[in-house]
Amino acid sequence: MKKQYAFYIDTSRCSGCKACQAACNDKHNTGNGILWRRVYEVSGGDWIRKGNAWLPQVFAYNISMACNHCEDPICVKTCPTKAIYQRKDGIVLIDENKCIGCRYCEWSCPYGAPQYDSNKGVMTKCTFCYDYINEGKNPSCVDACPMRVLEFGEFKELKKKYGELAEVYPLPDSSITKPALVINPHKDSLNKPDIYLAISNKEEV
Amino acid sequence: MHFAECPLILFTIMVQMAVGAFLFLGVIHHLSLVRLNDEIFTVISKPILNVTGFILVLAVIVAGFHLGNPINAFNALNNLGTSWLSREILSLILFLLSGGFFLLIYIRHKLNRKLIFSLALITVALGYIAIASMAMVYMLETVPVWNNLFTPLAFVFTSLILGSGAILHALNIIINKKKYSLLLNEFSIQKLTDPFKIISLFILGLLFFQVIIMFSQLIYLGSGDETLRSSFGILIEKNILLIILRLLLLLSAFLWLISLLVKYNRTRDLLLKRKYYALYFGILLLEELIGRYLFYAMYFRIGV
Ligand code: SF4
Ligand code: SF4
Repeated sequence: MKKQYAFYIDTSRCSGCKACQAACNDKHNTGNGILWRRVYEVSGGDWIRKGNAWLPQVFAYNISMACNHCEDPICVKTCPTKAIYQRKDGIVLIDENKCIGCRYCEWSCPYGAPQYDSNKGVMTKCTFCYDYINEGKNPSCVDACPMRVLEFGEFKELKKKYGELAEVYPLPDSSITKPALVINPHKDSLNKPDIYLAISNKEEV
Repeated sequence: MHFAECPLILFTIMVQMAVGAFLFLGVIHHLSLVRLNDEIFTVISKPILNVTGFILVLAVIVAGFHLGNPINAFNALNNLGTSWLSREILSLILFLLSGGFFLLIYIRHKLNRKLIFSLALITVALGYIAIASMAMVYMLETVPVWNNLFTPLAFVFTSLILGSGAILHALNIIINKKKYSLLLNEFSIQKLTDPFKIISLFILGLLFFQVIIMFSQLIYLGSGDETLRSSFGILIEKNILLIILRLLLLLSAFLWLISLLVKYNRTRDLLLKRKYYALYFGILLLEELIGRYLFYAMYFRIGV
C-alpha cells in the first residue's frame, strides 16, 4: 500500500507555548511574517444555570496546525501550474520554480497552510522537514515540543495507535481533503454547538 | 479584501464586458442588417471592435499584476486536468485567438458573409465558455459563499449589462462623429435606432433582475449556515453603504433608461444626444465595479 506520512497532535496536552512554531520558523528561515506551523488558541464558554445560580463555564485549548499533507489535497487540484505536487510518500511540496504566485492554493486550502512570500512572489509551505526525515530525524516541530504533543509517522500506524479523529473545532470537515492527521482531542474541543467558541488569536495566525 | 484583489476586479470586469460587447454588436448588426447597408455597418463597427480588442489586451496585462511571479506565467496551463484556473486561461486564449481571427477577416469585408457569421458565433461561444470557466474558478468547495449559482449569474449579468451598455455608448459616440455622420444618412440612422430600442428594453429587464438577484443573495447568505452567515456579517457590517450605493446606482440607471426610451418615442434625435448614454454607461460601470468589489470582500473560507 501507498506510503503516507502524517502528523499526530495531542490537543489535550498542548499548552500553547508555540515552541513548534518557533522551531519551524528557525529551521526553514521563513521570516516575512510567514508561519508554516501556527498555534490556534480557541476559547469559549457561557453562563450555565445550575439550580438558582448562574455559573460561568469557560474553557480554552490550543491547536498546532501545519500542512496536513492531505490524501486528497485540494491545493494540488486547484494549482494551475502543478507547482504543488504530492510525492509517493504523501508529502505535498511546492516547486518554487514553477509557482506563478497566483495564490489560488491559499484561497482553497481550508487549513491555511500555503503561505505567500511577498519578497519572492511565490507560495511556500510546510515541507514535513523531508530533509530531516531522509536523515532519519524527526521534523523540527516534533522535536521542539516540550509537552510531547506532536508526533509524526506512517498514517496507518498513527491511526492504529490513536484512532481516526481528524476534525475538531475550528478545523473543517475532514472529508473535503482527507488530511493526514490524527487528533487526540482536548475534552472541551468536542462539539458543543450551543456554546460560544472562537479562535482568539486571529491576528497572530 | 486584500488590496491584491484590485487587478482581479478589473480583469474579470473587462473580460466580461468585452465578451458582452462583442455579443451585442452582433445582435445590433443582425437586427439592423435587414435594411442597413452592410458596408456602413462594417465601417462603424470597426472602431468598436478595435477598442474591444484593446480592452482585452489591457485585461490580460492587468491580470499579470495579480501574479507574484509573472515570469513563470507560461506554466499556467500545466494543470488542465484538474485546475479551473488553467482551464479559464486556456478558454480565454482561445477566445482571444478566435476574436483576433474574426477581426482580421472582418476588416476585409468583401469576404464570405457566412464565414464571418460562423466565426462570430464561435467567438461568442468561446467568450461565454471563458466566463463559465471563470465562474468555476471561484466555485470552490472550501468557499461556500462563492460555491453557488450566484457566481456564474453575477459574471453573466456583468457581461450582459456592461456589454450592452458599452455598445450603446460606443454607437452613440460614433453616430455623433462628423466622419461617420456624413456616411450615415437619415435613413440608416433610423435603421440603427430600432435595435437601440429593443436592446434598451432588454437591459431594463436585466437591471430589474440584477436587483432581485442582489436581494436573493443577501437572503441566501443571511439564512445560511455559519460560514455563509460570516460572509453576510462582513457585507452588512463593513460594506452596507456600498450595497446601498449599488442599489441606488442600479435604480438610477433603470430610471435613466426609461426616461430615454420615453423621450425617444417622441423623437429619434435623442440618439444624437451623446452625453446621455455616456452618463448611463458610467453609472453602470461604477455599479458593476462596486458589485465585484463586494464579491471579493465577502470571501470567507471554511476551516482556519
Ligand atoms: S493542508 Fe492544505 S496545503 Fe496542505 S495538503 Fe492539505 S490542502 Fe494542501
Ligand atoms: S500560488 Fe503557486 S503554488 Fe499556489 S496555486 Fe498559484 S501557482 Fe500553484
